[in-house]
Amino acid sequence: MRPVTEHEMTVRALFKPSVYLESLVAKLRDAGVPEDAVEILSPLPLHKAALLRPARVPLHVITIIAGVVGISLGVMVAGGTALLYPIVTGEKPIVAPPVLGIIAFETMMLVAIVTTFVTMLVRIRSESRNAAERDPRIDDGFIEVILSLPTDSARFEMVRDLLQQTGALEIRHRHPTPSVPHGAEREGRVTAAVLVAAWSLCGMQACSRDMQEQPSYQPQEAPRLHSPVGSVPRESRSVLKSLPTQQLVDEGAGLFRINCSHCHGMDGTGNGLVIAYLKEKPTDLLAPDVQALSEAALYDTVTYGRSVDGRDVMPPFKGEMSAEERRSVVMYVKSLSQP
Amino acid sequence: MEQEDRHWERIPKINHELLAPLLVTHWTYFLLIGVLACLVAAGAGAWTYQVQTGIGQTNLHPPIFWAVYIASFIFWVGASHSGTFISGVLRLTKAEWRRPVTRIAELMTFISLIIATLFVFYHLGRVWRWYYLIPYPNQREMWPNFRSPLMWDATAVFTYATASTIYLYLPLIPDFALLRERIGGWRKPLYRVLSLGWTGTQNQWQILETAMRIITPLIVMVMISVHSIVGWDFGVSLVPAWHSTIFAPYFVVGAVHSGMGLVAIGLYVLRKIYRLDDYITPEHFDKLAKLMLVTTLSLAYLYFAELLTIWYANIPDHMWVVDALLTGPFAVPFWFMATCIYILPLATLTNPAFRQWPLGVMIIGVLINIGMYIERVLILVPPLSYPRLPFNWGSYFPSWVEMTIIVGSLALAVLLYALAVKIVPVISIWEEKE
Repeated sequence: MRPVTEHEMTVRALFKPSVYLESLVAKLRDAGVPEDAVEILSPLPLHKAALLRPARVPLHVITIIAGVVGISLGVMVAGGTALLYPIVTGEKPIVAPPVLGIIAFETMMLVAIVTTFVTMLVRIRSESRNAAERDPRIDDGFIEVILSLPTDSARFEMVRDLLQQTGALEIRHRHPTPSVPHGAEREGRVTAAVLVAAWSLCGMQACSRDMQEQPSYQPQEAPRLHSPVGSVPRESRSVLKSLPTQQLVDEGAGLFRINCSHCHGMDGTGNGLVIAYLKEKPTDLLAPDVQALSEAALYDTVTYGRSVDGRDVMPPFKGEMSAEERRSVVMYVKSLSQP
Repeated sequence: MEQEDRHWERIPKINHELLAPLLVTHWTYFLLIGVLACLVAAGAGAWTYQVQTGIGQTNLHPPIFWAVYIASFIFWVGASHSGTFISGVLRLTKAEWRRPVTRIAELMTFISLIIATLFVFYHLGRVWRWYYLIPYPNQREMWPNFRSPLMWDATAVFTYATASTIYLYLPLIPDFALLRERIGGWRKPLYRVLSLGWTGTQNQWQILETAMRIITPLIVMVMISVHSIVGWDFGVSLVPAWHSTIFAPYFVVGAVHSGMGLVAIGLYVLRKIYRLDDYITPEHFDKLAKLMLVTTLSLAYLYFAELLTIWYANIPDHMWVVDALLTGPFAVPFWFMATCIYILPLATLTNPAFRQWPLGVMIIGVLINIGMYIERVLILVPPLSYPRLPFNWGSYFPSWVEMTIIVGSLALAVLLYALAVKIVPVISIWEEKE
């Protein structure tokens, strides 16, 4: 139905279901009412080709195009990503044709059906009339014919006579105010707004890449012994607090004497027994810049050792002490600055 | 012309009678809802307990790693074939008697698929990691392996669920428009949105009918593919008595068999409660019973073909399973199942007078569904109990957690159906008028 302009009026006629609509449309056409100005509302499909204005692109063409898109989507998801992430299993090829067939069949159907459905929704909405003005008697089996005529009283009289001759039970007419959106349009806008809002909310997840960038193991990688610096284990945060610090420090002091004191000295100032044989003087652990380091940084140094200008000056203690032992050594080093 | 007039005069009566279920609510309805809600709550509690304490709450243990959850999944996906088969195939063949049956069946499809999806989640060990199944770029270095039949399953069930929701919705649009005019209260805004501004112009009718004509054959194909893929979950494995080419068609026919049974139950119950005797007549039960007879015979034929092939080949590890079914520890459920899904339907539905008896057809529907559920369990458990090396043969019986979840899910299905009846007319009003 073409949009109604200000210089037009709407005429609504209610008919009994037995009306012969094809001849009515033909008569109206002879009387100078164009076919796209006639709309017929019925409670059932009338299956009369003469009353239809066919769509520019037939629906089945859209379905077929969508199906082809669906096939390529399936091939890309099941085949393309298999090439990107090759996993060797059971002597099957990385891109297995029967699998591509199965997945592409399903995605073809999915995209074809959903696209057909969405196209149908859009077309049904675009064909919608003002639902509030619709005669409720249509649901009880009557048929309503709606005409858009130029505002011209002589013409209107003629059309009204014609409708009455054909057997119209009731004829109403009014001058529309086309600028005011009718009920169905308003609802459509609300629905569209909700959908757009929901869609943008879904898009919000792109603001964070947390889901994509999760820490992960590489294939064949040994289990990780401690969490990355700055991360907090999901459920064991309380473990850190609950351990008595003094016990840790005492344990650390013992381990320090065994593993560290020969270089860093019993008091940690860097005057151990072996410094005469070293090229680099061991770090004074009481120095303010060392004490300012975080526990995590000290832990990393104990774990991985230290190098200056590419020369190793301190060996890693990863293999000598467990994670807990290294942590207690760190606690002891931190405690040195405290009185 | 006069004939046509009389046809149109029936329309106000049809409107009145088919809208009644949405408007009139008996107190027993609320009682039913209450009882079902309690059962659902029990099931939800059992699932919560299982998630909290671990999948060890089930009696799953090697070698039996798939049992009642997967059996229920297969059963409910199968049950969903009720709607698509009855309504899709009958629409395609333009069978006039489909009109009062399609909506009842399509609603079953929609709800069964919700329940089937739930069973996948019950079965997952760490269910909060379920999104690992979704293919999206991530740093886990783990991409779903599309060569696994379980990924085919996930894709197919998603497609099927989406498509059958659309298929349920399409013929509902004109009905929602009618409800928008006739029903006020809390449902009015819902109908206003769902009816999409339907006014019944000739172009709208034409678009809707074209869309239905296009989507109907597609959904029938999706339906067949979905249960074939569920069959291939088993068929492509090397487990004795699963590794068989017949599994895909066998699953599809079995699914339609139980789906028919469910439709018979639904037709009978709704006809009884809402006094739809004028719409759902003994003739409908007769037609449905004939279809059930066809599926009974086809399924029996496929079952025999499968057992015969195994029996004649006489491969020891396959025969362990067959012997266990026919004469061994699984003989009692096996013969009970055979009675329910083959012998009793054949004995009764071949009788024309019986087919005209709604209660009888409904009882056969119940028996078929009980039998088909046992059949699903028997497909899973016996082959898994007899792996090729006898040292770890096992046995299985569901734990209370599993049983509670199964009962709760059945209650959820009935509850959803009962709620849907208050929103959606159970018989497609405009198709009935037509």
